[in-house]
Amino acid sequence: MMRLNRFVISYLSLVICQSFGPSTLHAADQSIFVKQYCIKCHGAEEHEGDRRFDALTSTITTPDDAMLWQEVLDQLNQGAMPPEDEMQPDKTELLAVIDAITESVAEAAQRFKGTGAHTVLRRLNSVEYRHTISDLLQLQVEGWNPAANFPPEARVDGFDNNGAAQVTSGILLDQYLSASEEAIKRATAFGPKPDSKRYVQKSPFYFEGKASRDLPKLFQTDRYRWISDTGYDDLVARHYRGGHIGFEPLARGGAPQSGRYTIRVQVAAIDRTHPYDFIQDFRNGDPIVLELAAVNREGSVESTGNITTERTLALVELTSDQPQWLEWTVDLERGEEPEIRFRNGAGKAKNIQFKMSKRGNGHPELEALAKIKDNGTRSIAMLKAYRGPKLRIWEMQVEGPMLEQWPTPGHQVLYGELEPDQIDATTIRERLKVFAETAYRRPLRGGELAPIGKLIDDKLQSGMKPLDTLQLGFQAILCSPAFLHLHEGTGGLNDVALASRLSYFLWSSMPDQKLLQLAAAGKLHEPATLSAQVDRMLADPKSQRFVENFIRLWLNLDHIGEMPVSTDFVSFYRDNIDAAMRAETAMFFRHILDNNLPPQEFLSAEYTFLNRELALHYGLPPREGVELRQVLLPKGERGGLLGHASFLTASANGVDTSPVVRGVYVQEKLLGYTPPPPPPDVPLIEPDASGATTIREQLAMHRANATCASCHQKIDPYGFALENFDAIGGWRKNYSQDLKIDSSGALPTGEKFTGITDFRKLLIERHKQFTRSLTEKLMTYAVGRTSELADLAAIDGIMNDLSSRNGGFKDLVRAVVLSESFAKN
Amino acid sequence: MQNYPTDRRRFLQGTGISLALPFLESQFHFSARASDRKVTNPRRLICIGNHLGFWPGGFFPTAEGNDAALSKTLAPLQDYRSDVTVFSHLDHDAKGGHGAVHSFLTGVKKEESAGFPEKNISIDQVAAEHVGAATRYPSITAGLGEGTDMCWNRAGVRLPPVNNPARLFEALFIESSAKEKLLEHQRLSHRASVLDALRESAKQLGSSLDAADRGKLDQYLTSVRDVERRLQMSEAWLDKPKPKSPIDAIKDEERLQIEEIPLFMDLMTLALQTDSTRVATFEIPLGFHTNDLDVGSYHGLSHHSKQEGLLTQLQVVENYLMTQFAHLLGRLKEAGLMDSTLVVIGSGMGNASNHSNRDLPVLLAGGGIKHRGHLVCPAEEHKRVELCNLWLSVLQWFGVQRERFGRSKGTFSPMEIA
Repeated sequence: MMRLNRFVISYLSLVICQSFGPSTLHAADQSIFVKQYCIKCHGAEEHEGDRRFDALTSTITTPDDAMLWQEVLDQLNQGAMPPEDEMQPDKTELLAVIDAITESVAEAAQRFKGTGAHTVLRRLNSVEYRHTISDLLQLQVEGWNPAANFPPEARVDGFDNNGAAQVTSGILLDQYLSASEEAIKRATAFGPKPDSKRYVQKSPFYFEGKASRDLPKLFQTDRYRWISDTGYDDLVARHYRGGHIGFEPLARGGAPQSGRYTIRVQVAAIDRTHPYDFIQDFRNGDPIVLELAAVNREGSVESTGNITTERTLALVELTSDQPQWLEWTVDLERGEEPEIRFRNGAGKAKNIQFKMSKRGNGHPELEALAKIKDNGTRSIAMLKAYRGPKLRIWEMQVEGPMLEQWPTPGHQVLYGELEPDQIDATTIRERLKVFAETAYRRPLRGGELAPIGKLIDDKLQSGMKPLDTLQLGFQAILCSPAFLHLHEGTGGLNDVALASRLSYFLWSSMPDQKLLQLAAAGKLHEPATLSAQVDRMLADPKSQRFVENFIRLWLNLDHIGEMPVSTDFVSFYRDNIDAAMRAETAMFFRHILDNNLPPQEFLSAEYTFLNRELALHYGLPPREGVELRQVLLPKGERGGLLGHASFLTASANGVDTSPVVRGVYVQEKLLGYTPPPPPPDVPLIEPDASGATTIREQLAMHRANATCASCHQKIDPYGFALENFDAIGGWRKNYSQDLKIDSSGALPTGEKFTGITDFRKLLIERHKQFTRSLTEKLMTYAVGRTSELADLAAIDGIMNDLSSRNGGFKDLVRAVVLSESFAKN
Repeated sequence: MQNYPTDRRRFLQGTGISLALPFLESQFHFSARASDRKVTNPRRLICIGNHLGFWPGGFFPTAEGNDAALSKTLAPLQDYRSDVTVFSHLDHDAKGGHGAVHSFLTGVKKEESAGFPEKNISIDQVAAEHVGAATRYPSITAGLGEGTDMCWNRAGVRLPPVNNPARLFEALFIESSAKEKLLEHQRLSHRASVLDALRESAKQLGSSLDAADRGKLDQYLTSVRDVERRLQMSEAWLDKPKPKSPIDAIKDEERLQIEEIPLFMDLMTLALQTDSTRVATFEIPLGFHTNDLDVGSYHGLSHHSKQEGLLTQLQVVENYLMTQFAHLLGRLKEAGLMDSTLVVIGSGMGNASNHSNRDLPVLLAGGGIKHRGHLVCPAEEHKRVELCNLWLSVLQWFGVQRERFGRSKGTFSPMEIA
């Protein structure tokens, strides 16, 4: 719903209203309606929730008034006002006034369109900076994230690209200075093309004595790692001791050069079915999941396990106990090295060993060994005899880099064909001009580079080497305000500005050549061209940034894992559920976008995307494989975003669920309505399980208080409907053995539901409200500011257009780009 | 350890040390100021905060005044009874549960910071600004893991904690080589030149913008000035030798968090004792590894729902934290710093079980002031005392001359702080 900036923090709060005198008024007169039903609490004397309507007139005279009227309208439509225990308008009176307000707000929106709605000078946020550096200098930013240490961005309504709210600080500028220096260093590639090399490591993968002295701990023998004489090594655990093996030939500094590498390993899955009842952290019979990871140890310290960054390159399920070769071709960044990990291994080697010692009775292979006195000897002997799940590895090979182009494309962006000895005052100026034009994403303005020119002159004069000087110039360009900000100006966007707005919307990065050419030719703003470009851009792999970034902000997926998930949820950590649940929602979004399905599909879809482990998490029959694939859901419980583990985890705290928190989340994310926070002086509910009361009973007591009731009746039902989903989205029927879950309720409008299945139907009926709210969120994300009155007309237009031609979600994205709000600043 | 970072400056980034340098608004001559301010016995401030607070039922003493018996949670402070004051019913009237904890030392949530001239600056950073370049580090922000978003500068940006005791040791006591210092001088000089160019570029760009956009560019210009000042301060300290460490070097190795805490307490004391800083903070996050104390997960325990078994485990955690606090007080006494150091411990969380940010646990120790045991402030809505009033008095005690802080409506100095 529409909100004015200044109301972002304080919302309407609902308190007791009383009407004055008899109702002698014409029902459709909106200002009289407000006087009758609202003014006691939102008037000259009391202005609850910072709202006062006493100066509101039926004829709207200012944009601010129109926004206030829009809020009144939202409240009435939502059935949220007047509070239940107050005098209510009758139904005809209500409908008439809703019509009247709707009409006058729409009229005002038309009248005031073109005013305000200015996106304040927007800075590239962390995500945009990262991708811009990547596209500009052709750097791979998965292994090296230039924005890793940037302070968190300010968020407004969940979105982190709000120009007005962004903060630029000395700390950030300091980071820009370091990040740009490093980016230039990484993109620079003078000298001959590096040869591809082949590196091989056969078992044993652990070392001791002299051979291990300069190696990180991972490579060194201890109680859980020994020098094998069998021709293979076994990984037994999930954690790094005994669960990860590194690649010795690259362990001293990682890959010498960024590029494509081929990685091969010879492995097998051993003892997937095991006889030990004390191993519970591995589902008997599961495939062994092998993870290929890339780690960087530069600057690492022992206390971080000698790793500064790590990322997953591939996951593979292994079922055969016969040796097999696996092969991947992957990008490694300079300094990265590969590691093989037992992704679903049973916890820590230390614990496995401990349990074997204590609870090995009945297992002859362990009983005898348990008597060994020396801890180290016993530990290794037992692990050798262990008949639990193991990832066995014989050999690992790495070959590369394979470089298609040399010097690298990023090097050419910086230096063109220049050799180091050709760098002088003249060529420096030429290169800086070329680079600045690309980096600034627009033609240079007269004299714009003069300050950097002066820097160059001064440094050359003081004896700095020409190459160093040129690089200092590049650094200054990457830290300059022209690179860091979008140049949107005021009024209608010119084509060049439009190109950037469009590419930061759909690619989170700078426009490509094609967009800039169309802009230079003055064609980009033409609807047919724009429309075609949206299609082209969405078909480009870079649009995955839009998909992932938008859902992250819309659904607040950053909240997942921010509150540590309870270790009672074993599968969350073992089965990589965190990554799978994010991927599920991203694939779902992608599917609806690519197939241009109607937006209500987000609520109503009876399919989703699952891999084996996520299917198990949902209590569905296991699928094959680690890849997520489209799966038809049994009717009822799952389906639509409401059943996504990401949605359900982001709305909980990792330990337990709260119907209040989820109730607010559902309305905010799916219906575009933010319920008011509790008024001051209301006691919070203190969970009390000593009397074994359920959260429902506690909330019922809370609602016995009239002040609380008026709000909670409108919030809690949306959360109760989801109570069958635990804090990470697993299905549950009971809280505990004797506490059954009741997920029934009634919406404020009176419709009853018995559980999630009914509730979803009620939400699907509200799909128009959902689509409108999604449109507004897309718009907010696209233009980098909160919606204002001028956008109301644009959103109305999009909604009408969409429903008149039964449009799909891709049409919706296209319509946002073609809207007046997008074209103007 | 074989991959020793070659770049010292980058090495310190993100460690809570270089980042903790303050932004001074009107102070350009650092070296001059540094020598001007030779204070013989300066005042010092330590602030400790934990995300989940302390269970109120165990934390607040039942009786009032100097002779009040210590509560279960505060029992480890037995030896320091005359050195502490526990406050009841102080808070910032904030809401938001976990999302409001970060306002403990600021009084202002980050979401509200735009409405305050100093944004949501925290008391430690106000104190750090006051110290300026008089010490090598205007402040040291330390903590476990990611900390709990406790320290904020006047730009509204959070200062992350240094979370590795070995790195803090290094920052305090390990001297750079002559070659490293030379490289650092060069680097500082190049950066200063780049900043000059950036300032001119911004001015040029600003002339073509409207008022709202120009405001943003002003922020950029302020940032340029901030970095310039920090460069000058770094430059001024680069050639001054670091103090010799009175203890054995703290090596980088894998440690449990419960092993890190006492090391940090010692290092904070040493940092004050060697006048490397006069302001130190320590943060204990939501994800504190309580498993190391053989109890359940910290966050899980905080949702105890009044169950006996969980409360008992939570008490183990809270007693452990208070024991570490007592250890710090002991160290400060040994170092003769107790009377010149005011120590704050508490949380922006009043009751984690129901996510209340009211009636925060707040305890002051040391500082050479007249302590009051358990000081019960008014609980009635219209008579309540703003926690920011206390923070303002703490800052005045520290020597900062100001009349407002955050949401303060005056000072609060029942034990003659200032």
